[in-house]
Amino acid sequence: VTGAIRALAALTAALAFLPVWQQPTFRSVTEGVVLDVLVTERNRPVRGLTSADFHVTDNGVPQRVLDVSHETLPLDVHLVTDTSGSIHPALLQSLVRSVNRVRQQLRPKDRVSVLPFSHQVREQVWLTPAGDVGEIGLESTGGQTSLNDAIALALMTPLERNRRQMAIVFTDGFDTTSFMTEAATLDVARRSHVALFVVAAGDRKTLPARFLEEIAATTGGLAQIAQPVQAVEQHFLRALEDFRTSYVVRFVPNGVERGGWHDVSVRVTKRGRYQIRARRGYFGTR
Amino acid sequence: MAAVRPVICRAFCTLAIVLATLFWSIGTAAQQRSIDDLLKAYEAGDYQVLNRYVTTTGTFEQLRKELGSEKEGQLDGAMQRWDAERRPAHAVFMLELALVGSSRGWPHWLDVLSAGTRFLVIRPDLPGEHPEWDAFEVAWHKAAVALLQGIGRPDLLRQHGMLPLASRMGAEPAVGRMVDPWIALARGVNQEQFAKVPGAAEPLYVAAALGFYEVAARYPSTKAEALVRKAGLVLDMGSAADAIKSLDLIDGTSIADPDVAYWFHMQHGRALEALERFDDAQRAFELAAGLSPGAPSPHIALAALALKRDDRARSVEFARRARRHAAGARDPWWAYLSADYRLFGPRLVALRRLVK
Repeated sequence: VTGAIRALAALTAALAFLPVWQQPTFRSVTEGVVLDVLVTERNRPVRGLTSADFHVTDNGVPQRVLDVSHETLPLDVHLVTDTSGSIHPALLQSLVRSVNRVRQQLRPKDRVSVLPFSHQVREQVWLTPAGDVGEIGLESTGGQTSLNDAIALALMTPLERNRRQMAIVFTDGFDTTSFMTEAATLDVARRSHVALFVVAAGDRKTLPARFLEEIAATTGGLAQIAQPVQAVEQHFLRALEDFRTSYVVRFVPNGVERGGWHDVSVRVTKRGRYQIRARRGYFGTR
Repeated sequence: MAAVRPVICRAFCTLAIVLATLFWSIGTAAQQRSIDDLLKAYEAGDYQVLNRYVTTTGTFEQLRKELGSEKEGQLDGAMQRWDAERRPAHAVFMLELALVGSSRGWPHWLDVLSAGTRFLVIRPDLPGEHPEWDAFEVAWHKAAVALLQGIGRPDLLRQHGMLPLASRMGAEPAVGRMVDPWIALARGVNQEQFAKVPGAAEPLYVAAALGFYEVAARYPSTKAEALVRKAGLVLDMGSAADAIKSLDLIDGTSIADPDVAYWFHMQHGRALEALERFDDAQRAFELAAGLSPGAPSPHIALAALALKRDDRARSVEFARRARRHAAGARDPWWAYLSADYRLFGPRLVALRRLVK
């Protein structure tokens, strides 16, 4: 019996030092991989889908969807706004209206952060319950534009169980002063759990449009170009609405290597002409 | 009686208008100052005289007209008068006038700057004949180019800064040219700025910039910055190993300019990270943070590096620190592409000393 106990103790000790399957990119270790999935049909969110309606593959290997939830988890919304020298007063006013409209749409358990940026990215409000945040004011700070740094700092935020995180980033031009290159920022986006939505004012020639579309799509978000600037508010609200109405789809990866980049694809099996938006994958740790 | 009242009213109104016009003209005459009058005040040590006086585009344009111009070596206006008794003050005053126009966003400030450049370049003596004038002229051009490097317009930097110096200055000695290796560094920066313009033919500009940096790297005064900039460019082009080779030619601890030393460690960190030498990269970013504790960029770099190493807690902590630097923080990284713009202030102060 003593031998059996010793063997069991040794086995327990050995197991304790085995590499555990750390949750790769998203929520907690035990939750597996969690994806925010927006399903629309004719530009309208589709409701009433269940786990049986989703087909998920991880590096091409079909996965069993454990559960699906819809509009139950509270949101953390990071509002990241360009206040550099190029933002003219009318645009700044439009931005102030936009961030406050988003704040008003949030629910009591939702939280909000405000990160204005020029060459410097500053924390004006940080993960504060929406109800505790009064009218948000923004000031033109002048200076240059550290767009990539601002995106990266919004994406490198604490991972919180049972909350969903998104960032809405506003800019009107190219990056001029960031330490982060576009490639490095994209790498952060691939490792982050935050869905990135970009609202950009201007036309494609005056914006890093391809980069913004790529990085937003990587995280399951969306880049929208606001033309004219009056449309900024509408794009902010659309970003919030898209994220709010996304499904939260959970699976524990099975039959795939644990480390490295995992391509994820999501499809709805139910009949219909659905458009699906979800992050493109995640980084797993060994 | 009723018929007289409008006549009296009209007379009072006319008198009021005449008096107002009279007082306005007296006031205007008292306020309007000639360019020579302002120069006199400036030479007497009132370095803010232009800042106080030139508050409207009208006054700026008035002074620009008074200043005159240069066509095929012929000067007119104030410049023609000043040419007869050239003093450093004339050129420095023009730089100050250009600065006032630039700080207020008036487009013709570049014409004033160019007039200053031409005024210096067409001086009657050749480079080499009066070393003290050569030294002054080099100092002036360095300040002017520093100002131009800060506007984020490589086309204007080339037009108003680099082209006028093309045959005037060189890194290596030549007949009729002033010598300062700084010019090679400045030409490289101009090409690097072109390379960063969205949609530019980046490899062509990078190749040109690298050529200039290799020249600048031969001289002790410009070696460190040239090699750091070269490393940054080759790293951007995907060659981290070549970046390390370039940086290995510098002793990072002996770089005199603290901003260049900071850039050295930041570029070193980037290159080491690209080679997946993560511990070394972390040390490099920490050294940069030590040199410039108020700068957010090293914390952003450390946050991204920690995330890459799956150390999410440290990543979050560094990101938090980066976001919480006080408003108005100073970060030499933000000045990297505008190069000598950070030195414009000290260079202008040095020129003012020569005015006395």
